[in-house]
Amino acid sequence: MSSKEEILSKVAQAVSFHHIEHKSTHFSKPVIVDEQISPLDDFIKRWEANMGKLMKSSKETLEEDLIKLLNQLEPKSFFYSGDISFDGVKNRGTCYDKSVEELRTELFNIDVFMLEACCAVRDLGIIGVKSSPTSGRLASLIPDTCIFLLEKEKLVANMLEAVEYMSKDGLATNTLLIAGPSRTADIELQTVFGVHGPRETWVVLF
Amino acid sequence: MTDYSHDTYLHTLDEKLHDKQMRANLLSAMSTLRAGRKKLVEHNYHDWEVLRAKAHQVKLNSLGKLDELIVQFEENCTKNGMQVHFAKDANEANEIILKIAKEENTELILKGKSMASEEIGLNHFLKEKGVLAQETDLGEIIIQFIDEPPVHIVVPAIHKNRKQVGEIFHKYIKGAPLESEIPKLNAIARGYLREKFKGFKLGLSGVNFGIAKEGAIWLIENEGNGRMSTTACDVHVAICGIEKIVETFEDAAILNTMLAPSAVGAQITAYNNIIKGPRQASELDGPRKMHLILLDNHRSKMLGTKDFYLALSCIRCGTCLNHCPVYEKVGGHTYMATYPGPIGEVISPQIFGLDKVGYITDLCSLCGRCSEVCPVKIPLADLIRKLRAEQAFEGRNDIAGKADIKRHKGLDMCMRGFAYAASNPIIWRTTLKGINLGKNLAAPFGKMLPVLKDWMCCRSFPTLEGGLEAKLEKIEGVSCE
Repeated sequence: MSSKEEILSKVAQAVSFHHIEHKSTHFSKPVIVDEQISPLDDFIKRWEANMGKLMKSSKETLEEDLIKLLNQLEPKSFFYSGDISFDGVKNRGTCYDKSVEELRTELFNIDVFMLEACCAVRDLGIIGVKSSPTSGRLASLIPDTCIFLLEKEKLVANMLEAVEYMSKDGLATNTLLIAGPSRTADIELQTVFGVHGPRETWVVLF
Repeated sequence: MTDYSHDTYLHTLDEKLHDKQMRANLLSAMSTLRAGRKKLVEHNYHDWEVLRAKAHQVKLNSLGKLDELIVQFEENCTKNGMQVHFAKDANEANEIILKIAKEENTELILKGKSMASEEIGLNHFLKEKGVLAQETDLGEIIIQFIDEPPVHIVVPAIHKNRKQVGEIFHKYIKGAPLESEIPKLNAIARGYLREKFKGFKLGLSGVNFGIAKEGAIWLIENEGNGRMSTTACDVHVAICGIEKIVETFEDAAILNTMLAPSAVGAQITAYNNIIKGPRQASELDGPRKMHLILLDNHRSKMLGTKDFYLALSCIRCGTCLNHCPVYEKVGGHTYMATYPGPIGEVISPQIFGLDKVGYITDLCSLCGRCSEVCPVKIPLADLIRKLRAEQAFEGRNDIAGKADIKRHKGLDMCMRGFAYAASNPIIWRTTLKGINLGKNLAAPFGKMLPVLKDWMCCRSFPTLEGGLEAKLEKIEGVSCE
């Protein structure tokens, strides 16, 4: 008997011993949100409480604002994902459009990476990102600073809505919910930011 | 070879009770985690008890059809490009991982945090075969350097303060200066691992939730090392205990809502990482191959018990440890096996053998705090008490190692004697009168008398009241029959 057969047989026997009644259980909205402010402002408040940074922009001024942000950050090495279309931004850096094997050394020395986020999650102050042929998994992990472009309309209420929204056209190979910079509290429970993921994370809202 | 002897357990217990630094570190950490959780739960959620009930039900629903879910999970993961393996025990899981390492011609595996990999003794097994399993979680790196097991499920090196960590880094990381400021220690760890992440081939992770309907795994973390270990590699191996499988994203979201608040008093971790499979042909990065190991290792046996199957609901938040008054005093190493604290007392004997680690069920005052705070409502204190009954051959569950427990003839005789005396009114009253008369004679010699001397090595002579019945009879309105 293979291990698979053995395990399945034991589990089936154990399950039949219990006859556990299945009761439908649904995810409701667990977190108390701030009804005094708009959902977007509530997200912004929570994103910033998670130590994320924010720049407010608009569709009309987006390119100009992104250039301002890059001027402020002054990256020595700047990469952007294939979804970024502004020439003023593209002229400043390199597109991540080759495989990781071809770009590995450069990727591990990126100061700033810019990519699109899929959605913002109101009740947790986090954002959703997914991989695609034009947006690699490493984009939101490897740089020192990460800039996420986010349309204001793409705001969802909670974690489940975010996952469902991002998978409505099929689940990506990698789907992420990101709550700001990487962090650890493993030493004396003192939180420090910027461990193996980005030290700084920006959302540019337009 | 792990030493599970009772003498080693007692020696470790004594050592940890006298370790003032460890106790101070633990007290500070556990107090902080408890306070953080309490504040969050009281102010940020509509009804935490309703959420606990939902999480409990999600787990029951999953366990109630785990056989179907395993089949569905395997089918969908395979469709998504994962190679799925089944491991009936620790040895088989280790051999599968070793085989993958050999096939990929690598002697280095970078590991994200995985309690399942600790459970199977992966690091030690691979080391003996010439493969280094390098930890990448900050807490795990610290204890790997000093060859210690984790002291806590979530914060494995919490028993070490910044000065101690600085000394460890200075000793074991080439070129690391002696530091004690936490941001500088973090920078040392980041630099050290960055070099390893640049060129590694094989990464390993655990699984927080396996989603059967999607054929995907959901991992949570804060540092980014887990993402590095599963993303920046050529080959990703994920170890998944079969009890981690749930049916839908909705089920996982209900459980995930409880995890970070319970574990560390934060609403969410920095990263929630949902992986569907290896890199597709059109994609730029991600592992080219992905292996998923479904681990049994006594879980199916636990599922078949009348009572202990509920422990399979555990989502590894560690909050039971954070609230345990005994754990806070003795730390994780006293529990002799991978999982410490209340959850460890229930599952470690069932994984490693009741005959080997069963005495850790002594490390419980039955205060019940763990049961009250468990986000999935595992009745931990009740299960610990029932496991004690199993050890005394009074239970009826099939527990690993139970048949190999050596009966303590002296203890059996005393318990039979007590049962006889307590069932006979004349003998009972006579015994109590004797205690009342003799206690004043015994008190000065307590530290020399058998049994009593073990009690009195760190306690005063017990208060004995043998004449209670006589006092009760004198109280107006009380009638003793």
